[in-house]
Amino acid sequence: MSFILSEDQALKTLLTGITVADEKNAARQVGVWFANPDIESRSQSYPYITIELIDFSPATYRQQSGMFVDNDLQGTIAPTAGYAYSYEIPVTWDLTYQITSYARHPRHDRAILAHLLNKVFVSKRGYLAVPNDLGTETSYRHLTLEEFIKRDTIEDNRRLYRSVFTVTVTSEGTVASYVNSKEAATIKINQTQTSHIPTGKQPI
Amino acid sequence: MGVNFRKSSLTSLSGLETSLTKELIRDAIRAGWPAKIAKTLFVTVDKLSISIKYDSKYANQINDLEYGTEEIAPNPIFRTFLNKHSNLIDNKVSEWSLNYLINGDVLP
Repeated sequence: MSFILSEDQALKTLLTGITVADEKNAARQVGVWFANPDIESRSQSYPYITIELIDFSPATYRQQSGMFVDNDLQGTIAPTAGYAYSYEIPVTWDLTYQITSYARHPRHDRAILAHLLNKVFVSKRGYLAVPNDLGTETSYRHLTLEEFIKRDTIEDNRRLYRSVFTVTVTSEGTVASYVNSKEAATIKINQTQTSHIPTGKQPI
Repeated sequence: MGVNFRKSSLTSLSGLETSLTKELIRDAIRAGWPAKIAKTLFVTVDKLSISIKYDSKYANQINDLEYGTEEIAPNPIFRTFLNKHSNLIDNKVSEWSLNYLINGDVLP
């Protein structure tokens, strides 16, 4: 996967596994969907959470410039001994997601809120573990809670508890172009020795 | 001659509310918000921050558009607009200040 797809999947992984309790089920799973599922699916699966990417903007405040060298092209190509990839530092982006929870039961709503605010966005700050494509390394991104709003409604004479979280995930774009070359075998410095060395000094 | 730097720097923000309001309404209509609702939106600049205001009688519809419902996906305008302009005021005041320091007989 790559930019955006990796963050999407990481966010879904982070939110998967939440359970809520009620009189019929002590460990009811909270479903996680990208955008709203079909009516048939969701009517059987309250409570659930949706994830939507609503905006992305260049993060100029942390943009750097220059060249970077690694041996797996940001974790996308399996390393080959003796070869390295050289590329310009990618563009930094901030991804903005809307995470919405839906519940029919007030206790479910509170349990989801408690989980998110106590375990995911503690003090409005959290982190998102994003594995690379090769599965060899994981980068940890800032996950910041920007806004929270309750949007409870009554639908078909039934209560629907909705909580909307707006979060920002720090990210960076894909490498635009790269050079694949052999790693340096030796580094030679100061091959030529000057003859004009002041008296009492030593050459480096 | 003494100059109230803070007060003077705020002159760089004059006309900003009008131009931002036009831009916000245009963005909302382009995103598919009903024109009747989009035209009630306006931007205010207060204490060096940007806020979006609207006619409260459309509050529910605006929240449904911005955050979506179970039937309709969110169509955010407020959050994307504020993201886009998060550094605007700082940049405007910085630009004015630098210009004033260079061209305003401040430096000897």
